[in-house]
Amino acid sequence: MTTTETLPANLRGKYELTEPLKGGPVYAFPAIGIAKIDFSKLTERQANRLIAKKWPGIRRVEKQPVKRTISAPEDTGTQQ
Amino acid sequence: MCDINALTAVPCGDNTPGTKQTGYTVPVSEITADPDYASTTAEGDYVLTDSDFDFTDAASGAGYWRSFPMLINKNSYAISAVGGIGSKGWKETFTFVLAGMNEQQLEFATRSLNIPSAWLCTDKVGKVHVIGRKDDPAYIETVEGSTGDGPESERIITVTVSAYTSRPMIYLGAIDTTPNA
Repeated sequence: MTTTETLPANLRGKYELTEPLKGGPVYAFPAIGIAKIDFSKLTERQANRLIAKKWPGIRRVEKQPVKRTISAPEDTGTQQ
Repeated sequence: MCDINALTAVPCGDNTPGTKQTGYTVPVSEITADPDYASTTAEGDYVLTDSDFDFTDAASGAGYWRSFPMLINKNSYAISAVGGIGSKGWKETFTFVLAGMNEQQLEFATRSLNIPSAWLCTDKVGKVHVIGRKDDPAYIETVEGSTGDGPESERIITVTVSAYTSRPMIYLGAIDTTPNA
């Protein structure tokens, strides 16, 4: 099976496969003009091209909002 | 009874004849399962797939689509209704031309000659037509090759494969070209 874990490490946080693909990791997508793509060696350019061609099997990972909290400075008890 | 949807006209400019220049084939003995048809009822869904061909149980080194180049503007996928009134089905025909009469083309044609197989043909509009299924395979119907007899003739092999089906299939899945490990 080819899953998000098959993608190169530097892409896994940026892109994910929407569902596992049987077999692989090399596939052809002639319907969208791609003769050969190896998901184990996928480049960012290839990933963006798949998205631009509206292939539904890949998407960008949505960045989670960072939660920030503001707290009062700690009271050290010293007085001047 | 069958649901028949209203038919929408082909979008402007989206009806280019012919096929793209790469075909794919696999012996059906390597197919574990055919893709499923879409279960929705929107226009066109009746012949669309919503899963991939499964080659899980194929032997190591097998279980993948073999690609082959075709001579452009000489290939076609055709269907014709066959059978008596009230008993009709489809005969699907995929005709393609291999450029060359070298050992590679002759080997490909010879080894494909008598095996039950499935084929994929992408037309110029981007629709991937499936010819043959795991339990309803295609066979080569005719093969004719010639070196040609002069500078203005062709050195080609023309192959026609055919299959019968009750429902055509347009494949939306990934075409696995990786041999099983």
